[in-house]
Parts: sequence; structure tokens; C-alpha cells
Amino acid sequence: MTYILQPVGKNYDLVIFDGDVVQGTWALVVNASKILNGMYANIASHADADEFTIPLALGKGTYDLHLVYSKDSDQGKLDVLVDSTVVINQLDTYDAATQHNQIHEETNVAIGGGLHTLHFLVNGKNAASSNHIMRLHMLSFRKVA
Amino acid sequence: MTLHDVQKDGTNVDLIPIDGDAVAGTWVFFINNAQILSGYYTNTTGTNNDQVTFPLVLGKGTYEVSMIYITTSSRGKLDIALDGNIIINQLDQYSVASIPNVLHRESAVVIRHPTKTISFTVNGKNAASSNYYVSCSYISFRRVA
Repeated sequence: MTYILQPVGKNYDLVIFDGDVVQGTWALVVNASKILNGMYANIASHADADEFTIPLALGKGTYDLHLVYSKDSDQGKLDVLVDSTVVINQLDTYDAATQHNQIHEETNVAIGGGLHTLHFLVNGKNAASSNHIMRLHMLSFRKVA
Repeated sequence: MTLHDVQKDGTNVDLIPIDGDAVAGTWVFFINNAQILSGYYTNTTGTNNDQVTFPLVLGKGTYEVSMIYITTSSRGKLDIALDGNIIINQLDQYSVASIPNVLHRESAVVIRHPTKTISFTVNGKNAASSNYYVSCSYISFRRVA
């Protein structure tokens, strides 16, 4: 007898050190001020609509998401999508001064079973920002239901 | 019937090797601030066939596997296996000058039965290398099919 079971979901800490690049130049950069001693960033290209994706298989459930990122005066706004569904909408990562290791929380994000694609997309910038750079560290999924 | 008899579909797993079960040699997390995660897991004994294992449950599926390590002039070649099945074969970690944060990616690792154990094994060295040290800072399994 063969059993085919769909996972019911679990906690997952996604370390953002590499992705499948859709647009721009994304690279791992070491920085001792950052959690995990580094970041994934589009410093070389720094254009609007820079994007990378990561395959995602979590299991069905409702999750709280915690994105760890940095703010700076040269940063843009970030969309995070699961497939075509926006789960973090134009998160403004601009700040006049460098702010390491910021945490953004999204609660009660429903994710279906099966295979998904997670998109990290630069989508505009604050009028005060000088650029569209994004500096990302990790994204945790905590299953709540 | 045990958990591993069930053909359960897999989910993503990110592994930061910090404390494994040594089979041969001495393995430690070595601090190096040029490296992401501030270091890497390595065999301080530097002997061919040094081996360490970690419990790792991966459900069936096809995975994109990414690993980050450091190369130096004293590195050996590394095999990585799941339940004895090699998925990364004799990865040569030798280089004349040290290069931190080297990314190795396997785009389609097929797992037909749930796994229990991942192993790192030193398997030879480049003729130019002075020793059999190997390293791993991080390895991720992202399910794509």
C-alpha cells in the first residue's frame, strides 16, 4: 500500500542568501552589523522591478511571517508575493539613517499545500530615497492555524 | 508502519550545521567573520574519510540544493549524501587563495523516499591541496517538484 500525504505545514526559517534572479544583480554580501553576518542585496543593479524568486513548499496552513531586513537612505519599497498573491505590500525600507535588522510582521497569511514560488520584488521607492536597493536577511514562517 | 514508510511529500528545509554526530574525525563550528553566519562547520582533524552526520527528514520530491562554503589551499573534496546516496560528489574546496561564501547549487535532486540522515564525508583532495579540511556554512533544500 502506498500512502501519499500532503504536509499539514510547519515552521520554517528561510535564510535569504541566494535566489533565482528574475531581474537585476543580486549577491551575498558579508556585513558584521547584520544578523547572520550578511545579506542578500541588489547593490550592483539597484533598479526598480529588480526581483528574485525562491521555491517554496511549506504545507497548508495559516502563518505569521517575520521579515528581517535593513533600512537605509538608498533603499526602495518591497513586495513579497506567494505565487501571484501579494503578502507584503510595498514595505518602505527607506530611512534617513542606516537601521540594521528591522523586523516586519504579517499575521494570518494563508498558504495552500503544494508547490509555490516566493517573489521578492522592488516596487518603487520613497520620494526621499536616493535609490532602489534592497537588503534582506531572512523570512520566518510560523504556523498559527 | 513508521513515519519513514509513508511517502510524504516534502517541504523546504534550511540547515545551518552547528553540532553534528561525528562518525570520524573532530568537527566544530569555526568562527570566521568573512563568512556568512560568522563561520563554518569543519573537520579540525583534516583527515581523509572524516565524516559527520545530522538527522534530516526530507519528504519525497525534487529539490534545488544550495550550499555555501569557503575554499582555501588546505581543503579536501566533500561528498554530501542522504541516507548514503550521494547528492554532491567530491566537491573540490581547494583554491590557492581563500575565497569565502562560495555557492554550490544542485538544481534537481530527486528524493523518492523520505530521508533520515545527511552526511558530510571527506573524499580525497586536489593534488595541489595541503590537507583534507572541508567546510559548510549552510545548506538549503527547496522543493521544486
